[in-house]
Amino acid sequence: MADLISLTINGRTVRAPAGTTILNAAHSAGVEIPTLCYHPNLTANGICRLCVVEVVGARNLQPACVVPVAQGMVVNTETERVLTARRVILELLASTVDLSEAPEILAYMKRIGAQEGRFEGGVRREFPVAVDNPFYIRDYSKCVMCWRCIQVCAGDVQNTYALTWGGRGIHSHVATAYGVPMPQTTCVFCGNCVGVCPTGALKGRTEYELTIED
Amino acid sequence: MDAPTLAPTIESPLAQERLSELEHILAQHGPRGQTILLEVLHDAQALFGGWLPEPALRRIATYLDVPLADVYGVTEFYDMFHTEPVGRQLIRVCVDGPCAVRGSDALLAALGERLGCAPGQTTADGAVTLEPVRCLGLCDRAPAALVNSTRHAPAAADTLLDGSPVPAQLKIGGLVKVALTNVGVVDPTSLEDYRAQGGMAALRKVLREMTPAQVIDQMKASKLVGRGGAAFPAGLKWEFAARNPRPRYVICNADESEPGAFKDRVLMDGDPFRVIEGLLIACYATGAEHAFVYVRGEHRLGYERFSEAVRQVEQAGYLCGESVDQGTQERTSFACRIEVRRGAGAYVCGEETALMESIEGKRGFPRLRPPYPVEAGLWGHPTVINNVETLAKVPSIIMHGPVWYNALGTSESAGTKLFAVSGSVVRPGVYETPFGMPLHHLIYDLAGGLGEGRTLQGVLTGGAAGTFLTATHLDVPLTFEDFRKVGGTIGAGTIMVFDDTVDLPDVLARIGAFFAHESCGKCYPCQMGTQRQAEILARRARGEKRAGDWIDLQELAATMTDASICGLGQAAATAILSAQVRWPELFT
Repeated sequence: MADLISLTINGRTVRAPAGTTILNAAHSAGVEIPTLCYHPNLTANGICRLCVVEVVGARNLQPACVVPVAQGMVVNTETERVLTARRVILELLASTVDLSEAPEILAYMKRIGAQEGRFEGGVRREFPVAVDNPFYIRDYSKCVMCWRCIQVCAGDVQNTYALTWGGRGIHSHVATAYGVPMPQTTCVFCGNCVGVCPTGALKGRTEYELTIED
Repeated sequence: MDAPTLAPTIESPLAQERLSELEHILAQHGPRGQTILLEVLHDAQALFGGWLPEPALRRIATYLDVPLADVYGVTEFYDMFHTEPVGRQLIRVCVDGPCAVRGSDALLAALGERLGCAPGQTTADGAVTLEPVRCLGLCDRAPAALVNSTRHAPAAADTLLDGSPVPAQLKIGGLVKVALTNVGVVDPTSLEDYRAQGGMAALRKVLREMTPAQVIDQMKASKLVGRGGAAFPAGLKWEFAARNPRPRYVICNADESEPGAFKDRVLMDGDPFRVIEGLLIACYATGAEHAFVYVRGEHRLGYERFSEAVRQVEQAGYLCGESVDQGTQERTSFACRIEVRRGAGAYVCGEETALMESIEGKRGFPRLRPPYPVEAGLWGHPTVINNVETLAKVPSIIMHGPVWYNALGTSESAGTKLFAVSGSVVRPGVYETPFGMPLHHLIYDLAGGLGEGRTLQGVLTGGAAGTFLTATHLDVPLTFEDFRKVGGTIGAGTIMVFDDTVDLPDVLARIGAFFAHESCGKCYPCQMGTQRQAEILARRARGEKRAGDWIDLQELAATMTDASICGLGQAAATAILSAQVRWPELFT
């Protein structure tokens, strides 16, 4: 039995085994923290920062998906600071990509009062839909750069390494080497990437064709 | 960008011949895996006329046993790598604040007109690509440009295009010389000359008379703090790393690339042996067997100086030795090797964990911390990473002792600091002063003050990620503690001066554009926040103001500062927030 750590989450005392993340400790205690890039089967990179929480004594907000619990830690998951950061992050996301097939994100935005139209009018990530193989399509205008597809394709699952990052900053996108179609890459069409995509940027070809016929 | 017709395509016999030459490059570097990727890409790109065709990348990937997608992802991250043809000549013109104040917009326009191509484009004959770029670190000689890797600063369209060289003027000064002792005096290409100036005596002293623990104690007692901007106590950093298991690494961070920052450039160009001596002392103290110098890719001269210095130091036998404790007769053997590595155009790689990713041959994505580099740095091993100026101070501290060094500064800010002064001053340059002198002394006595009849509008201290001060702060002593009290930043010692002719909204827009361009794209707050901040600031600089701008900038700042992964995002709004405090009227 691992050592139990005692901490406080939103004023309640919670116990969790050493090494547990704040996210999982909170979940066990019935406190839900929103996530986007996080996936339980993949390496957590703490990139979307939606799961940030306030840890008393820490200078900055902390990503709950990667920070382990510590004895006596005091965590608050819905303070003003936390909610401002989450709201602005989602407003930024809505101004950059098409969230129309990400109902959970839209619902959470509504709940915390994030405005979809804020920061509109600047650079958006827009790409033509890539239909280049019989199995799945890539609609990167809907891609939130959670990295999950790159990770499952690489060392986290498949070790195929067909995908990488193109660009930098706002221009970051998922890419193949020199932008070639999937059949010209090392892709083995395992479908793992489609399975982990949270926003409908990757979907089965049949499903895609049904939606565009509608 | 249109493919220039004369650029080599891979089908041409010339390119085929180059593919076989690529084998020589690969053999020179050896099958070392991903860590050597950036070096191979630099050399391959030079071979293929400034860009990296697919067959070359494919061969490199196979040889280094790295997936092709990962190799391509790396080329996409760094500004200096091109996967499409570029002109035979690449002209890079800096468009950041200190150069803008000295006419970089006019220079870029004149070059575009003379070449008949727009900025960002290649001439129709494929001869020249004209590229507006972020700061080149030549702010003391603004406006600055690079023609391939040759510096033109100050640059003028005529001399730049006809290839006349611009003599490099050394602009240094100050009340004391510690880091600057040899600059302008010593031959930076000669170990012999460095030794004639007393160089290598500190390393000899350390090996003969001191245990590693004693060296660390001296460094702690000196109260030297990191000169890259974060001001972490150097001796403590060494001590933490030395406690952790081997292997251990030491890195010299020579990736200086923030607008207005050029003090490390002066050291690496002018006295590389001093930095290498400091690095070797750090290796001895921490028990590191492998050290790296990571030089900003655009600083070709610095890379050459360091490479030559390491070659001579190695040849002279300084990379190994043995020390004997005079008391216990305990022997400590010392052996290390030093590799000089080039960055490739990514400011974020100055962030210590992104720099480590880059040395490992990857995209420069900053890591989550903890763990800190002293526990898990390069390849997960304990790593000390020190700034160029920090290491340049080490030999003097060893020779003269911590008491001497302390006495140079104030009780809370020990020793001396290099300040890079640029913008609207008569003598932009690098000045070394003991901590505690007033800001006025730096701007007026050393940098010659403002042009005739001009008045001071603002001073951006601590770089693009720093804070603004005004004429009311000229008496504030240059110390960490005094600057903190008035909301100023010492940072890496970057001081950008703006007189009454400077358009501050334009300066702010350029700061915004810098961070948006340099954001790595890993975490959401910075990836998208820097872009929206830049868009708002650019729009306002054009005179298009909206009622919500103030609160939008405030909330973007709060989110980036509070939720970004690394220092880039956390500080991307610092100067803007500070401008909102100093000049609220600019934001109405």
